[in-house]
Amino acid sequence: MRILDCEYPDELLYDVEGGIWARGSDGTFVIGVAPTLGWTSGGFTSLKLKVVGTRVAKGKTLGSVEGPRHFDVVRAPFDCQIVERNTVVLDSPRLANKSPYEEGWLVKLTQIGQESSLTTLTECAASIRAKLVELRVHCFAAFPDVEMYEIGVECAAVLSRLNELMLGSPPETTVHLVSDDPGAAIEMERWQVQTGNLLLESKRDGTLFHFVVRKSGGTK
Amino acid sequence: MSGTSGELKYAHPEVLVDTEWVSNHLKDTSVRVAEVDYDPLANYGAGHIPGAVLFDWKKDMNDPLNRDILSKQQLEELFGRNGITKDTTVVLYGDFNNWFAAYAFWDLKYYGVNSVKLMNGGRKKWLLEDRPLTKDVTEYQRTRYVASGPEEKIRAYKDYVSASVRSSGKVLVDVRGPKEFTGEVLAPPEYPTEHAQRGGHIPGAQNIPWGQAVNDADGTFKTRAQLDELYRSKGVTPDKEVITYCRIGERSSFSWFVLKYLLGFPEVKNYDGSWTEWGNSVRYPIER
Repeated sequence: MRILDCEYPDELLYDVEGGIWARGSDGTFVIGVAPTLGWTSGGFTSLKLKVVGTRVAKGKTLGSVEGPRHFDVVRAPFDCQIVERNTVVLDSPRLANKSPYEEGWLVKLTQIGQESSLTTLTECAASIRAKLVELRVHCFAAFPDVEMYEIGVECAAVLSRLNELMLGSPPETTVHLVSDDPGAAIEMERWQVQTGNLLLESKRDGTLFHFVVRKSGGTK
Repeated sequence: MSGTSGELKYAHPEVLVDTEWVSNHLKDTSVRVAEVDYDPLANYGAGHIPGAVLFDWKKDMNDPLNRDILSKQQLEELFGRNGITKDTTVVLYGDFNNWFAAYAFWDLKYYGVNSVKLMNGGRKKWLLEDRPLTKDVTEYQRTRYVASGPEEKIRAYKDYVSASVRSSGKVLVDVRGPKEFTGEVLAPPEYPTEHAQRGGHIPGAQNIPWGQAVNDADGTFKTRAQLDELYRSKGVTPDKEVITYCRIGERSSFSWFVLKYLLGFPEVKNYDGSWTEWGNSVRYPIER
């Protein structure tokens, strides 16, 4: 289900306050972070998980996530034991932003106690929506590697900064650009054609324009 | 520091309490715990130490019309509203390893608040230790608080900084990131609206990023020996007067706190105008 501009798979369970999702049955669950936590962090730079075998009580911490904007803990939705950790995501925390429901999962748990804070999407969709609004969460076609907030800057200057950034970045680098220049939407379409880079998404939020662009694989 | 062994050996351990001490004083009416966040919504609003009040740095700690830190009247109102008296011990903590809590600490000291402490490790350590949080906001009976000060000794203004450039016996410490110091970036990407016209640093300044004073794992301060080495290696020693600055004067409050209270340097000032003032000023030279 799409809630505002964020994707929440129907078949998963969620703990809205804790910012996590769960997938599983028969007392074994895989846990990961939902878009709310991914967005507030600004992109994970550090991710820590307790070791396999650790028993964690409901509401206590399984680990922590940290980005340039926010530090938070990930809490157990029920009394549990950690049976597996995603070692790939531990090495590259951004995977939990880029692929939150697949490769970016965090831990696998066996449930011990009955009491759980998880609910189905049907039950919690309204509170997820409220949370996305409260925290002003944006979800984009691709999670950005770099953020550029260019407020009060004229479009030509913004594009020159963007080009400079693209020039110094590896192919596939994804940039979230925010501009308040009213001509930005047209200029960005033109920029895409001229540079050969990709404009993945373009949307308006009040007086602000959000763009997600990706550097092409070539040598533009 | 209350509640720990003396291994950290800070010059003024009385300005720190640890999370355990706060846990043991949650019901102590002579203690008021205040959270100071960059982002109160995603932090204090998501759950705070039971009984803790919020000092909102944007609303409570600034005087936007004068481009100044909060006025004495604002502080008196803030303290009155939160039931603080001269006998209250104010304990500050917050997100980003106490970055904004340290800024509030400096503000409070500027207005002569005697009994103010930081909770070592801040919000991060409290969360990591699975200590209790609540979303309930406690209301306290209003008090009438009369502030003293201002203590100008701990604050530096632009002309004073200008006269101090390359002056013997004084040293400027730029606590921003290395790329801000060299002018490669004008502001960190997370704080895009805090640009200056020029990138670079005040001539002669030493670059010692504020975060180097912190153990990243739990947000606590490094030991005195580690901190002493960090500053000494850049020629920042207690025989000199030290002026700290950053972009808007908050990260530099953190380093001011480290130098003045943990290392016990006698003369430390925070230049809160910092780069957004200096970097924009006509005929104030910079280096890159």
